[in-house]
Amino acid sequence: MPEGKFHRLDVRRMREIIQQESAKLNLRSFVNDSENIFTLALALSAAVKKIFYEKSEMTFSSEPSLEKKPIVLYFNEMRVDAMEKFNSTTVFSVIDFAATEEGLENHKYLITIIVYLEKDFLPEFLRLLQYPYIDSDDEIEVKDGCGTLVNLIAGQYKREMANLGYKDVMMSPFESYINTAMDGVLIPKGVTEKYAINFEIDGVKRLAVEMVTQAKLSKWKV
Amino acid sequence: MKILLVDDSLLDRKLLIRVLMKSGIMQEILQAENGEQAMELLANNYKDICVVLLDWQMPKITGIELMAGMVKIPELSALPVILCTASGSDENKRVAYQVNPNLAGYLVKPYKLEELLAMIKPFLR
Repeated sequence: MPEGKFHRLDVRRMREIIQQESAKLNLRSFVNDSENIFTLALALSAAVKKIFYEKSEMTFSSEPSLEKKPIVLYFNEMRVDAMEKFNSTTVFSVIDFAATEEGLENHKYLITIIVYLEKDFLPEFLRLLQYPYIDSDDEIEVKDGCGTLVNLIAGQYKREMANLGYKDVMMSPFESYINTAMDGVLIPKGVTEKYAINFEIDGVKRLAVEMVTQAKLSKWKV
Repeated sequence: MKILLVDDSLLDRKLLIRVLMKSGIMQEILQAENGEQAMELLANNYKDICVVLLDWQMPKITGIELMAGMVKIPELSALPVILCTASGSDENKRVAYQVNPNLAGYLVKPYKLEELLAMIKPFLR
């Protein structure tokens, strides 16, 4: 064949070579769930962006940053210190997902998501989402407002998960805290890492979301 | 020249394409959602591809398997491959370089976008 002339490669031959090499190097053994978990973190990020865009046409000023972090356990519950997220009073709300209602009651969680916001910025966030004004000095209103936001995110996240081919999951009611949860937060058992996702508005971090996911995800794919 | 992006996650692909476009990378991006599609694209376009962004974990043919095959095929063996994985263990990295000693990059998700761009840019033509 003259140099530079294109010839199409034989795909069947390629497949054979791949199979031979895979078997020789035992490459099938290097498969795990990390990829699924990363995709679920991306889906959570997409859910948050979609909510803000659909409700207010607001876009975040940069792509959300995703970071994998170790979980600090406190008597088998995840230690949460919201002041690490922002340098001011921070409200956060938690929602858990389980395969069944019974799973929720027995704390057999598949996913936990936590949404963190600066208390003083919460009214602005809710305004962007077309909710009525809340008083940021009223603890009940603040906790309820953050819970409303985590509910929205969790609902959209469920839809994103369905799009990725996961079975429907049950969602717990939200629980909200200011600055810290004294006893920690219940999370899926046996998990050692979480994904932290930060969102910026006008170049300033304004929203932080964390996701803790059960490792054996392939079990709940449809 | 073209970039071949192989990833079973549509979300991952969308994110990457958005980042590449936002950073001014104008190369055409070929997309494959699995190893089979990637083989077809490679078979027909290998002369026009300047870099392959390859996800490790995919159903059926994984990224590491596809790469193992590519290095044994003379027409594909010199193609720069950047392997992306969410499992950043030392063992996986060792295997990746064992399979392809000329691996152009090994990215652990979630990676920094600057890191990805720095790896890709030298191969853009």
